[in-house]
Amino acid sequence: MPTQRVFLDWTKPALDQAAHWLLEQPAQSDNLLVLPGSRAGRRLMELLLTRSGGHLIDPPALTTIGSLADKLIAGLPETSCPTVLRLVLVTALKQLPTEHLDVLVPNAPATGQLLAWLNLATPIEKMFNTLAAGGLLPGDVMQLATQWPDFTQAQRWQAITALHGLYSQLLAEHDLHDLNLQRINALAEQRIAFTGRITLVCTADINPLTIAMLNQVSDCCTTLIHAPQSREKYFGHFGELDNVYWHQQPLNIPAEKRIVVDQPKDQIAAMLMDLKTFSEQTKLTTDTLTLGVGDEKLGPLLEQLSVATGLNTRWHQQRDILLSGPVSLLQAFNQYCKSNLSTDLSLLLRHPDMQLYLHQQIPMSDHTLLDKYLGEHLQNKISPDAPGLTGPKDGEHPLLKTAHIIDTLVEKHLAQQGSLSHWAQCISNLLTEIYTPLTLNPNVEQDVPVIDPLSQIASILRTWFTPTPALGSLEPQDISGASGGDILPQYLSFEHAGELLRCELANTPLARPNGKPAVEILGWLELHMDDAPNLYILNFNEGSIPGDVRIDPFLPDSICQQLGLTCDKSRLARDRYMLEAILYSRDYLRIIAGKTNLSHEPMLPSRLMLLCDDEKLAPTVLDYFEPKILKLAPLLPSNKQSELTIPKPPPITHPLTKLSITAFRAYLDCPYRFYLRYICKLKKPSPYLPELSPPAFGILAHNVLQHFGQSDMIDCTEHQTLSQYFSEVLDQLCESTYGQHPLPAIAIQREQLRQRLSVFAKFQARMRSDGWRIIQEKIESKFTVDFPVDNKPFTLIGRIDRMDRHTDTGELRIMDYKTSESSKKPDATHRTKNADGSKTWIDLQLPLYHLLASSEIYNQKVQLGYCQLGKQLDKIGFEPALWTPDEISEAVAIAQDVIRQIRAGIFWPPSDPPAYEDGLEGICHDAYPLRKHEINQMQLQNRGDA
Amino acid sequence: MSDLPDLPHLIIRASAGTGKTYQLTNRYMDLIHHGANPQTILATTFTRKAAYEILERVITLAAQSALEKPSERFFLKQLTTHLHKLMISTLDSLFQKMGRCFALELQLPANAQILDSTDFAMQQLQMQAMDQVLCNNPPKVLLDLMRRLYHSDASSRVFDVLQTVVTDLYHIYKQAPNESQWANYNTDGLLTGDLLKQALDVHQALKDELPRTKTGKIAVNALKAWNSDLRFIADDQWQLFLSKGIAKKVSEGATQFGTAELSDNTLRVYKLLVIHAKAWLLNRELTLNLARFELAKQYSSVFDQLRQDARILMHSDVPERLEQAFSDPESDFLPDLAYRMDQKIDHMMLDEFQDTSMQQWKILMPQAEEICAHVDEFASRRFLCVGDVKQAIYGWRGGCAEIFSHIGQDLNLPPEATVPLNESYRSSQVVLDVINYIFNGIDHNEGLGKDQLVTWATQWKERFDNHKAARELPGYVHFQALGGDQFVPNEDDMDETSNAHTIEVCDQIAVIHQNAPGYSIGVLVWTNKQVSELLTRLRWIGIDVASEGGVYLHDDPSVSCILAAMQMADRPDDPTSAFEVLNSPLGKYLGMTSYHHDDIRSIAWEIRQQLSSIGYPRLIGHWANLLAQHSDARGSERLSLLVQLAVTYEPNANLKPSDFASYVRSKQVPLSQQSPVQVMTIHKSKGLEFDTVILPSLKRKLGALQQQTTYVTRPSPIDPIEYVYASGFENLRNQCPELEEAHNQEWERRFSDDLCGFYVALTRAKYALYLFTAPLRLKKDGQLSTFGYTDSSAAAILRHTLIAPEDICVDEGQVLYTQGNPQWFETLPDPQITTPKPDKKTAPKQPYQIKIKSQTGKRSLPRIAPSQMEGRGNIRVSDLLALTQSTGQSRGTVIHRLFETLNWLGDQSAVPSRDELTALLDIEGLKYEAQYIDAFFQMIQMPAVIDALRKPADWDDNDCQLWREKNFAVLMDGRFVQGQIDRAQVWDDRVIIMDYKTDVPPQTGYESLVDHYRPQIQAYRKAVAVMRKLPLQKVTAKLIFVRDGVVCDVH
Ligand code: SF4
Repeated sequence: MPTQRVFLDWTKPALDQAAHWLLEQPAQSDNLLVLPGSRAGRRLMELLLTRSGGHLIDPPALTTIGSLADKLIAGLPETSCPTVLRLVLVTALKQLPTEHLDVLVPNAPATGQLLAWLNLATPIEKMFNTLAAGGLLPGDVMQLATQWPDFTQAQRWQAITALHGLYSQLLAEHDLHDLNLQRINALAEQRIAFTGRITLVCTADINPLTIAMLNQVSDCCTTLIHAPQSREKYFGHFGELDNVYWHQQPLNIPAEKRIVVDQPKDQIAAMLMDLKTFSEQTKLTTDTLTLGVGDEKLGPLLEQLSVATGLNTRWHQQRDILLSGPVSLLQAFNQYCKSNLSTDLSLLLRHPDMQLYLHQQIPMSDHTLLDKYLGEHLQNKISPDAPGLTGPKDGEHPLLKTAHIIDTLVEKHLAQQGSLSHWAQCISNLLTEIYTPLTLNPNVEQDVPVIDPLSQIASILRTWFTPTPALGSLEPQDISGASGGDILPQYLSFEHAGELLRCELANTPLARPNGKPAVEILGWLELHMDDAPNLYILNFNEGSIPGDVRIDPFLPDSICQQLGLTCDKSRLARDRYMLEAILYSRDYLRIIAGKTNLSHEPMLPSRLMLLCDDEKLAPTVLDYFEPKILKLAPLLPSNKQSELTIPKPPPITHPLTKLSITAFRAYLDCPYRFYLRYICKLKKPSPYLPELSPPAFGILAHNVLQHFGQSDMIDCTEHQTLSQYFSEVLDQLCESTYGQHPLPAIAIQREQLRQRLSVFAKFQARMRSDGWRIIQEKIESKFTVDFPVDNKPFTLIGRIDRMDRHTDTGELRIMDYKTSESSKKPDATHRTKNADGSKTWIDLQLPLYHLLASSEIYNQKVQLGYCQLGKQLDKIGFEPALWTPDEISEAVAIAQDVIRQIRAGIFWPPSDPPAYEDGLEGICHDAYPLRKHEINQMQLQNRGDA
Repeated sequence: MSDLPDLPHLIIRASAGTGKTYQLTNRYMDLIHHGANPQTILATTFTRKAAYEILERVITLAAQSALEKPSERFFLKQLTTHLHKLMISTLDSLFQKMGRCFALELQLPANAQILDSTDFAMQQLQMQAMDQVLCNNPPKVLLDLMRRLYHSDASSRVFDVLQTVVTDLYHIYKQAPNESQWANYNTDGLLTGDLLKQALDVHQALKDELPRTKTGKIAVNALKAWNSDLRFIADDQWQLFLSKGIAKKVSEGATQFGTAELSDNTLRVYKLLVIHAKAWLLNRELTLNLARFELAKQYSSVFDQLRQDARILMHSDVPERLEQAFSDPESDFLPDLAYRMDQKIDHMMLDEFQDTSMQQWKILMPQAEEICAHVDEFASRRFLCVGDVKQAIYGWRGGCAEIFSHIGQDLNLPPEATVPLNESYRSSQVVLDVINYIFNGIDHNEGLGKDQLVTWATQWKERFDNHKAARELPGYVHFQALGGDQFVPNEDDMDETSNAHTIEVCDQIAVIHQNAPGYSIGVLVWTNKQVSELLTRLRWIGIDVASEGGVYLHDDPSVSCILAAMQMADRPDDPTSAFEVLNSPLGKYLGMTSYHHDDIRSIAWEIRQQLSSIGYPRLIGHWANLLAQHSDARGSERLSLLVQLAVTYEPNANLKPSDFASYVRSKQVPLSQQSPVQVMTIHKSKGLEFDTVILPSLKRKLGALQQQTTYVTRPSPIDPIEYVYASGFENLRNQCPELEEAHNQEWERRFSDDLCGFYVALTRAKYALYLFTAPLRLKKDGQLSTFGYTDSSAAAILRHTLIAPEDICVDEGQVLYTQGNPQWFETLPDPQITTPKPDKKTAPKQPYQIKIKSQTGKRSLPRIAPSQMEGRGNIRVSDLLALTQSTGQSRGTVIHRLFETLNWLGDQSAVPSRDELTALLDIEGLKYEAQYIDAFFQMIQMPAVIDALRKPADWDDNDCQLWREKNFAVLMDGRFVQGQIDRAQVWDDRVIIMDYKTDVPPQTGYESLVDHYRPQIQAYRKAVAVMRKLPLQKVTAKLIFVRDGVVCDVH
């Protein structure tokens, strides 16, 4: 009996019609319903259920057209784990005779580089799959090609055929089964059978292999076709399309159904604008409207950017599985195992799931501990002998404890190399250990993004774990390739296992569980089999609908076409058919195209849009390239005025009574930033750099010199000895902070500092010879001085790097070490020149040192200045500031002013932003073009309030 | 089928604004009209934007003519049916496509990403690579290198230094991978070992031979010089040795020192030492250069490997490998190309040809040659290239204008194939006049200052023909000196724009903009640094400017706040970002009460957790919705663009939320409404035009070689690199012709590039051109300082072009030249032709409000299986991840299956035999052990089990149904429940459900197991009640614990 074909009315959605038809048939508990996709299947079931009063006993079985083949093969052996097959293909590639291999891969990687080989195997595997879907093996291509004129690729296809032969042979030898081969063989051996009934529901896109199989069981098939009977000759027995007809038959999308705008977000805005009008005219519910996106990336964007309209939408997919918690955790472990570097450790510690696990063992610790440590000690690796890791008295340093826990996990689960099943066990154990503390419930929305990836991982691990007899003999010699010489690496490492797992997981879509009712956002391929009567399609552009022409190194499109495989024409035909069916079956349809994509690159109109009748083509083209400009509403709401203003300091309750001398500069620069830094105590933690930051470099230099100042070397006048001394102290200090094996950059920086210090030694020796002697007790000691302003007490605090007294004259020299790269003169850092030649104080440090050291001064003579230690060696030495006493008093008066203002709580308005980044840019709206306006506005408001 | 005789191969030398695109698109249409298949026409240009413009022009042209003449519809159809295969693209994307076709041969990783070198991920890799290079070398080697590169400085920055070195060298190394290419220093005459020792001994002994005074004493100056020389020699201070004293004289060819004659011996020794000193210095350069080579080599291998592993390619990778492959005589890539690309190139149209690099040309040339050599009776293949050597500004990127100069000969095309175009459709004659003055007089412009530059300028001028305006347009040119007292010319840093100058220029820009609002203004500068300075200043004075490529989103407080939250999630110990978030509406939403680490910790974790589960687009989208309500329209628009960025970022997301912030900070985003004022580099302005062009800073010396760490030489510009030199050899140049040559080659190339840049900048203007320079200054001696006067800067060139020589003087604040009408726009018909202002009246200010009824229980229902309800649905991770079914589970499955075979138990009911059972299990492929079947037989002996499975007294086979393993689906409480019932006895008015359980009871006994299963069984009861339309109490259920034969009723 030939297949029965039933034509469904395409003025209504396909599923709707299919459900209707199915319910009219006598109950068939042995009926297998075949649908284009699983979502369509679920939806069909819902329709059947609703229409049969809410329940079905013995509901029909469902499958997708893609997995139908396997249901039709009698005696299908259990197919082998895909990863094993992939590894066998790699083995086959490696064993391929050179004359063939050279044709395919002129520069083959070294045998040990498994990942590189896997990389090569990927396109080959894809090609095998593509061929198999057409029921072909590489050898068949060879044969067919002999009839093609100008076929230049014979040599390559010979090589591919040889490779496939070798691969099949290896499979046979090891009793492994590849689904492609099974299918093709079953077909050839006529092992196709089915006992029940098959109903194909709108399966317009069937691969040749499946068609061939269906032909052998055609008497039990019924095909539901979503098209009018009048087109029957353009469909095959099983609903497959006549590509020639469908890819070129004109199709007109009426102008009023087309909208063209610029950016992706404009597409959304245009959709919303239209929907607004439409929803006012028609009663819509979440069930009667669907949004379709040609580019899946638009799904989440649309979902988020329609929230403000009050529209509840849901993109049907979860986050990409490779980015999910469990997979990224494995990835982070992988990275850390590979490099063993503390930067990778810090990434791993940031993983929220990892952190949860660690919390149970070390409460209150988090990754910032490591970040901070790295910032201070710049260590590549965290180990007990790393510097600065002596713990609290009663135990280990929490960071060591953390590192220990991680290293134990690695040691326990990931360190050994081994077979796939070994890794299945290890990875499963690792994940179990980390995730066990979580209570997971599939009904809880937040848990699904953990449960789904874990189950996917588990299902792959299970295929790895299934003992395959053949693997025993395959693995040791071949898999990681080091067949000769090497001692251990005959096994897979975690890196390999991780990569293999990622390969398997890639492109596994995770459906988002259905929750609150919402308008669904679906991808293009789902739209035909959706049954909401109203539809918007976004990103109706070439490259999305239809998709890009694939570039394949083996099977160019025209070859695919010749071989009857899926090709551009067949995809165009399918998309065109679906579009026509959609056009007929929807009550309301709008098709939106954009001119640029998310990366702001130009896009082209969909060819489907241009398949119209000849006379309509030119207007349609112009509609796209010269669209009329729509007045679109913003996607997000806004206020007249932004509430995100620079936070104004509240009136201070406890005015400052003391202040560090260095803080004055900050106030003079900007009172507001002063407030942030000295009252709110805001300071950005220094990021980890693999070298000493300028402040760290400065501190190191300071520390050496502080050591010196407190040592009995201060009287040394022998520059070589001094130099030697500095050198030793430098090494000591370096080691205590940066360990015995500092990062290479630090070692270089240490040498640079050593060089500066050795020049400084000459200077120091000379200065001592000249009679200047360090006042040792004052070295780096904290000075405080009472500095009453307006008869109210105030204290200045400061730390003077160094004070020398001249042994003969009693003169005092106050110095500040400057290690910054450029050696600026004191006056240049303290005062700026105005247009009229006068100068303004911008820093008061040195003048206030004068005040601070007042107790030391007994004959009025004080030299203030910098001790330059910058990169220019010829500038190293003392640089005095030649201010007159008047100038110094002027500076002091400014300090008093500052104190008055601080007492009065004047921290507003902010000044112009500084030229360098100080971490406060965000708070101070530095980058905001309207900042000045904003500040003025706030000033005005303030006055209004007052 | 083709017939193209009237369309010869063509080389168009088109000056700026003469309508290159027009030529190209017309030619394209001509080809199609002559029957060429669009998918065989390759048309390439340099930017995607330009490529798209060509395509857009071609198609709209075709559409317009189709609209007018139905007979033209065919051609439009031709284009649209092949839309996806049109080869109108950038060279880059053509090569990427070719590369993918040869992925295996070229070892291109599958699914590779191609990134810019400025891309965030790429920079991270660079950093990693440098780190590895550092680790691979003893610090000494690098320290040595740093010292050599930075002379006496003891800089504390390692990565900065290394980065400049390495990134510069990487590309050069790729083109000059042989050590010998880096070692071309002539060190002849270098004394070593004994020879050197001897020479020094002799020098030491020279004391007696030094010139003497009349009194017979050794002349003081000679002795002093000889003494210093001793020290210099001992310290290897050969530079000083050469530059002072006796050696200096001797090397200049003198035989006297002071007034005294030097002895022959002295002369001989000094000559030897002078040669040695030069050689020694060159040798030091050589060692340095070899160290650089080594560094580049290491870096390159590490970096390439890292990229390969991370599957990240640079734009240059594919063409590099293609070039290698194409130039390999063994490979037969070319014949394969058409097959692999599935497309044959019959016609070639190359735009912006002067920017083509040798590498690119080597890939294209074989095909171009094939096209030009192709002769059949229809002459069916065509070549066209369009370019302008005056606009060759990509020399630094490998662009080689000389290819364009020679292309006619290279392709054997007749001289008449080359056509010049000098009529500008863009600029007003007023603007063109100035351009004509400048470049016609460039060969004797005294502003160039150096003879060498004049020679090169003269060569450059040969490419220049007078420009004529094709249309009569109003125009204005304005040249003015601006900037106050603080202009301090700084030799070290020529690009440092002086503050006062920037401020005044920006004020001027504001005025110009206010004068003619709505007209586009292009502010063009040389460096990115200048762009950002001007952007900052212009924004500061309230002009919302954009730069090419759009705006940075983080400049808005609302976006900044979200980025701060990302930073906070990453570093909860960072009080600055926490403070920013805390003081924003987002802080309230996140429940923040302080900015202290301890309070942030858990919030930070939650954000990371959310990111991990729902991803960036959803979380950022959620926050954007939230913040927009508190933001103004500007912020709200930027927030919506931020969500778009989150979508593009997502695929590369990692565990560091702060990386998202860095990503956003690095990305420019085009706004829908572009600002009329744009600041950009001259390079970016290529291909664009503006109503007004402003050149705010003209002080860059054309041809300046600052910051150049490396010079390379080529035998001719179209040859590959021959030698590579380190550039720190100012003082050695006159000693060493190779170095001089290298320096000059670089200098000439740079000068020519810069002159082209200047030309490009000037020719972007349609109507008005504003040129601002810093004022001239007097030196202490009262002469004019060279800066802006004779220093080869654009300012100097302009002064000498537009001002009479005698009038050049100190000119602060002066308008130096004007021409045309400053109110040029008044004469234009429509004052807002370029950027129509949005019609603010009709565009809504708030999002639409859309009301759609939420409907429950109809579509896309939550799905659940009854078994998921047991134990309230919690699952154990260990179960989820279990690799095998535990024995318990597989035993359970088998026993379930066996029970399914049972019809009734007790009395005369038939029980399957052991053989039947094993056969069944075998067929179904269930794994079992014999003892399972034994257990089964025991179980069905147990009284409670028998009781439960006994046929009830009121059973009537006709009216009642016995369900075994019954599938069902049911809608329940808005959920879709699908499952299977083990067994049920179904009467018309009641049902008894039975569920087999194989569990071992816990210590608490079966009671607690019943509790555990209750939700599942209740679901069955409800489902059956619905299916049978019975009240719930009519559906009862039993749990049959087969292990111990315990049967429990479940209520
Ligand atoms: S907006 Fe949606 S995705 Fe984002 S947090 Fe809220 S519920 Fe989750």
